[in-house]
Amino acid sequence: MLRRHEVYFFAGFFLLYFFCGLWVHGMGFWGSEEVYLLERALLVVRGQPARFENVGLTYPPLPFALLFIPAALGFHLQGGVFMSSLCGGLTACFLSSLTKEKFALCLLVLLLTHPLFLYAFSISGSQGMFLLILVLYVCFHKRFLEKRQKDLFVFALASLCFGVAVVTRYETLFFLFPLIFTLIRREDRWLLLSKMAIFIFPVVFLFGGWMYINWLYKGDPLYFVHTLSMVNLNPPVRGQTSWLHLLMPLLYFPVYLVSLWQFKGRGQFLLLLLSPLIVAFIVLWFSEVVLSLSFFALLGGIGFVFLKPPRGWLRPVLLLGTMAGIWLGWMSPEGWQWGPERSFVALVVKREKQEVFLQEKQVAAYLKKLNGRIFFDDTNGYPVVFFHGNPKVFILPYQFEFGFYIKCPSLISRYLALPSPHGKSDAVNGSNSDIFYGKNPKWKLIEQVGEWRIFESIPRAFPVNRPVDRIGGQLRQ
Amino acid sequence: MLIAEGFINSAQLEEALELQERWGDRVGQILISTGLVRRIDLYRTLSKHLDLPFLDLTKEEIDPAMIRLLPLDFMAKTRTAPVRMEGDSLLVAFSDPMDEELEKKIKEIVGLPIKKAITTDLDVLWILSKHFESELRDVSVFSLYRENAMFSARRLFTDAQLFLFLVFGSIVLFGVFFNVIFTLTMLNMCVQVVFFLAVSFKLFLVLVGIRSRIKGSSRRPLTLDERDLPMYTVLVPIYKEAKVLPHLIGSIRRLNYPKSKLDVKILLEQDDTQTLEAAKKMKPEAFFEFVVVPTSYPKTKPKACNWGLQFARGKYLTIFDAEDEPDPNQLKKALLAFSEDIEHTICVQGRLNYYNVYENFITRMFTLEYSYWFDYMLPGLEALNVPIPLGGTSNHFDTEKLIKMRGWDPFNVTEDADLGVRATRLGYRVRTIDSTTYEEATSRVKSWINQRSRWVKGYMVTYAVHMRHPVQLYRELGFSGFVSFQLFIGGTPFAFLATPIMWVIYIDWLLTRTRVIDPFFPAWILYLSLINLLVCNGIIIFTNILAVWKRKLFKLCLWAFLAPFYWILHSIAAWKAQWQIMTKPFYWEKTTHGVSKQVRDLGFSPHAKKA
Repeated sequence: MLRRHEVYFFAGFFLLYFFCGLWVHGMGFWGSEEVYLLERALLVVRGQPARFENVGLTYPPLPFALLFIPAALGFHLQGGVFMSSLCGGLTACFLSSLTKEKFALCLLVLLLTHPLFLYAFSISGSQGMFLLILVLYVCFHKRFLEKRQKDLFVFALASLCFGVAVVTRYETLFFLFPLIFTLIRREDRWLLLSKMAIFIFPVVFLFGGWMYINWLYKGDPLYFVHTLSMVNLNPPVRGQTSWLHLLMPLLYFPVYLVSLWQFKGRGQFLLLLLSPLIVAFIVLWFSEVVLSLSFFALLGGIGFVFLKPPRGWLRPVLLLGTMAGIWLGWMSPEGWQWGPERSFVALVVKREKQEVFLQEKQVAAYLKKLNGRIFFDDTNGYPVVFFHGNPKVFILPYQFEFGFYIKCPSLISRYLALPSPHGKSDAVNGSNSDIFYGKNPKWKLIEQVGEWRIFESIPRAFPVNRPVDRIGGQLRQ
Repeated sequence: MLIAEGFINSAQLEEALELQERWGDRVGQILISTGLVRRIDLYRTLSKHLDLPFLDLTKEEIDPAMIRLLPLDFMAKTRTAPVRMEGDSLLVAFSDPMDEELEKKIKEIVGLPIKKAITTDLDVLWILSKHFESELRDVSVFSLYRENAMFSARRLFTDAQLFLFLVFGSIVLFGVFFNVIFTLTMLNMCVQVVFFLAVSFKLFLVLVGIRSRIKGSSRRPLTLDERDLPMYTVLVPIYKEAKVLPHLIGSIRRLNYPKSKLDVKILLEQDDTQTLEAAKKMKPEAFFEFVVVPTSYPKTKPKACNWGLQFARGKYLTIFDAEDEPDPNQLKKALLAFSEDIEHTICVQGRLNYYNVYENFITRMFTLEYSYWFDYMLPGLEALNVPIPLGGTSNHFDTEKLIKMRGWDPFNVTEDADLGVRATRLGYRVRTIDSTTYEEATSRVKSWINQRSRWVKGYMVTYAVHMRHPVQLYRELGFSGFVSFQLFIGGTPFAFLATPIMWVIYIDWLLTRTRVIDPFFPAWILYLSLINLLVCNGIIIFTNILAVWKRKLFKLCLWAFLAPFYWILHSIAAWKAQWQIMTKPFYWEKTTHGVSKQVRDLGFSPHAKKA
């Protein structure tokens, strides 16, 4: 049974996130993934068959499946916010159930109002769901370790949560690497094998199932990897800056640092606690790209799961540190590498200024006049343009074989909207560095709105081979 | 006197007296139940001591009118029987001649002066079986049907059910004729939804079961005073299992319960001459009784159990199969469980598992299945307070309540599952205990399919019987009980039946990429069927992997991945059951025991060896 304070936490934070999302929507800002998923869902609602092959097959299936439900029920505009804030409410409820201590609950209230949580649980699409599942997972896994790896119930729940997390976000797979080591002890090898089987099986089966579906519809079990290839096409964040970006989120959540300190001598727990950082490190090391900033909200969540509420002077310090983390979250948007979070903070902090998204709205107004499909990377500004423009004409890189078409957008669209590559990361600029500067013979500049440029493809540049027909066929589906 | 007659020596008497101190029973009873004195010697000595005539009822002339002066159940319980008139007095044979209260009561009932004689309890049992055969048989077969036909599977489907089948069949035919795509799509939808719900519910139950096991692990220690223990009846129906008799006797002997308070009835079928002959040669201690069940139809285990129930003397009663190796403390654990809610608990189910685990693929998979079924699922059902389909053996009953419920349904081939549901409907509670009985897993495919087809058929019959009045069922079970009944009792055979159809469609599509099936798989049904294919099969394997944990059968872990192949066998059995439902619904597919290589080679199970 739920205790009273858990109900309050659920209701309070659900409403907070929900109204925060609606408020941000009201100002014309939409989370890019949220828009993408909703657009896919809307395609279905508009009568396109809801088959996996028509939703791209590149995106993890669970977020789409969950967003499809509100879209199919007719409240597609609020659906994304609703699902995210529901996940937020559940996360708050779950975290509050871990303690009854007033200090810890106050700390939790502060923690959950951090801008990263506000973003993740209001308009981020699947990020909120991912956070919820991962926090649940870490908590169950921790309990399993606490009970000397004997409590099958929490272990089964942990492995199920972990499996579900993989079909929410692919990078969860990288967690396997550190987490496997948390289970290894000196014991009967068959017992070890069965532990591994219980832990890995949901991941393998769900992920294998997804690969099977990819093979079924696209003839390639690794078709979805084309989404991952986007990572490589993003302008890499090289050098020292990237490592700083990896460490910066630690300053947002002092609770995580305290937990690290408290578990410093306990190897398996420490490994579990460090696993998000290890994953971020793996991604950075292999792809030279920093994970989206809201991923690091996980540090706050699992930091709280591990926290043993301190005594004495450390209490006010921790509270003040958490407040400082929140302040830092709002005040250092320029350091953030991921577009949507930066836009979100900019919108909330500078909401009184009308020029926020002014350029995007002007781009949308211009694009409305055009007749033909427009290729658009959703990394920057797309959500705003989408909702102020004509959604039916936009084509996103996700919809096609990313690695190929992103390099040659003229194959599938007549127009191309590009933000300035300076200080922003998007895949089209990343792989076509010449277009924005007018050096690409396939595109001619037709409009410039502030930092945005709109190009039209030059007809003769179209190859006359069959792929165009194939793409046309794909679009008609 | 027994020493004087040379039947025992003083050391043996000392031993018996010691046991009397512990068990709080009569010395005579202890002597015969421990095998120190033969039953016949004790009774003859007693007759001399009390100066009462000893009657060998198998040779005495019994007056059929006189024997009916006492009620049958009274005689069965007290082991007394009127024999004939001798002068003005009624000659009554007592197996317990020192019970003065009993004597008074008999006088009250018959209203005649009585003349006491001594006989053995087995003799009384024998003449009762002989003189009351038709009544006993009638009660064994028709008692439930006469009391409440709604609960009996004698008539499998009611008129209303047959009418509904007809209506449903007509709608389907009509639909196929006028709109084949819509009709088949709807049928497909039903199959997918029920399959998904049934399998998901099993995962839910397993998780609840694991949790409830942890909660219940702090059981009270076995601190029962053996002097206060009640008489406990153990029914062991066997048929054509002469080979396992010594094994069975050994297992019962190992029970940690005062032997003088055990009432073990080995129920033998009259036409099973081989086992009858073997039983005659056994000559076990007096607490074993060989009860011959006359041949009649339906020839089922529940009918034999109902026969035995009429002679049960125990306050509690349990059933074991011939090849069972029960946990020696099981009876005491069951008593503790009863004592926690004595008013409502009718049954306590022990856990079952197998001792020939590693014999072959079938025994391994069977062990995995039993492990998650009894270790997790049934405790899960208990935790949710919904009907528990009992297992075939190691279910312990409150005898009085069981008799009130009219025992088992002899027309149901999974009488145990039916009884669990019926008990819950009547407001009783069924519980589980952490005490395992090890059995012999059938190791041959054909035998496995036969056994499983009986179980699936029984589930179908149970579902049909209890769904005669769905609204009433809903009222009696409540929402969760009703849903659980649908998914667990109804959903299990349904899932087994549906699986091969879906596999055939899928494999056909995989090989031919035919578009013919496309219209029957609109978007969301397609998604659901993909989930069924990928997730539900995953759930089946996952629950099997979890099953190895509690029993530390970690070597079976990798075998869990073969669970979908094991499901193919389930489906074959389910279709066989479906066929039998139409052709011979009461036919009992007998499982042959004693064929396990392990038992055959060693002559005992590993658990018996340990004990």
